[in-house]
Amino acid sequence: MFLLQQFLPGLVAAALLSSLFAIAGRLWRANGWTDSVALAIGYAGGHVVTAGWPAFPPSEATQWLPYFALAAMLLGVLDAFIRPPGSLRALIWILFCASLLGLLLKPKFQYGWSFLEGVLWIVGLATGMLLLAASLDASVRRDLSISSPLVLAIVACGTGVALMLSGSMLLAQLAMALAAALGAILVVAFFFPKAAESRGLVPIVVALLSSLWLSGCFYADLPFASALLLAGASFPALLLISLSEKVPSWKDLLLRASLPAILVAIAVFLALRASPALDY
Amino acid sequence: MKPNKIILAITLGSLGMAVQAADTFKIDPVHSSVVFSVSHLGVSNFYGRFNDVSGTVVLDKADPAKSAFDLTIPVESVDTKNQKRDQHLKSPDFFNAKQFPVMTFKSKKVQGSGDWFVVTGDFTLHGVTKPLTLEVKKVGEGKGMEGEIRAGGEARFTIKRSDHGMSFMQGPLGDEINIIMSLEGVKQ
Repeated sequence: MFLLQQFLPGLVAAALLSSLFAIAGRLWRANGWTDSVALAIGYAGGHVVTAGWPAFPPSEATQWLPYFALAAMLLGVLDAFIRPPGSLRALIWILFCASLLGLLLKPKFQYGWSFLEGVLWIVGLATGMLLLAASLDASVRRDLSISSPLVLAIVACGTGVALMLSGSMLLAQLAMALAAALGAILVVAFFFPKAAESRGLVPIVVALLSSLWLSGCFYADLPFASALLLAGASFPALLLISLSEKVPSWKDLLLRASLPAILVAIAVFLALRASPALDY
Repeated sequence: MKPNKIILAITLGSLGMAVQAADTFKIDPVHSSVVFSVSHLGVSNFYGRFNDVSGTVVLDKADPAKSAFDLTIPVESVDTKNQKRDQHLKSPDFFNAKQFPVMTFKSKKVQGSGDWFVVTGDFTLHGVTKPLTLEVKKVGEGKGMEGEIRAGGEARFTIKRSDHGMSFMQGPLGDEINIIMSLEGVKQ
């Protein structure tokens, strides 16, 4: 009951806002970018209901998340309207990832890392984010179904559970708000199958999931192994999506959902093993 | 002694008194306590403490306005008699100890006379700095076991954790935190 009270308002707000924008976008046949808006607004709504709207500039790393969502939304919209040439896209993405990581991990520069250590971490983590973004982008552009939002919702949901086990209910609530927003888009995409296009989701998913995994590792007790598994959980399904040229059957969908689900389950199990018990 | 030398001696003597009037005390964490209470479910108050506090207090008896307080409390030292709860308190849900390892108080203005001081300063908790006014009562001053001069004082005050962006579990856990800060310092 307590958990329900803590999670429900944020989940409902995120799901409602996301579905509203996703439906509106599909009715206006503007779906190339509306999923981006739907997810960013949905998550931001869930964040506000859960933790309030943070002041600017935020004092706490996780308070950057709604701002990251909105910045990533602009990236998604820009990408949908005027898909810039490859080199420019790469440059924009590198700047985006490096700025995001710099802001999120600022306390580590203050209290933990030397400058050189910090730069090495940022370079490594930005490379991982770019890899995730590139593979997501490559597969969702070929996705003729609801596979992409389904896979991403599973990963976001697993992230929420793993974070809950890692000593931070707040981070878990934020991950679940993201999962609810993705779930709502998934349902809308199911009822408007022809209009399904998930490319706009990529920047927001990459920004928010990466931020949540890193916050879990650096500021809570999420094991690095769990974060790595969660980060890699979508890859097998994405590979299947990108290899397929036809609309998937229910069996295909089930396979695409179960592959990330297995990796997510292992990540959750590892988080459970390392979990600081909160049953006091 | 010539009159000039007498004047010089008096001047130097009074300068020395003025310098001595401001005493610097280094906080002794072993004999200092920071205790807090917060409402739990509206049915009771539970208590916790911070096991570590450091800093300096400059006391100017002649001119209290020249006194200064500079205190640091490591968040990692929170102790509520329950390890699981302590770990949760250090998590991003509450103190977020990895992002904000310390809370600090730095005075900006000190008023008072005798044994009472009104200390206004900046209190930083959870990365958010807010003005805070403490009424500090000097408890006493005396010699320690090794002849060192010690002085101590106490302040009781209330803060709202939501003012510092700590809003998790508002309702079940109270917003107002009552704090008793009892400090003892060794004269340097």
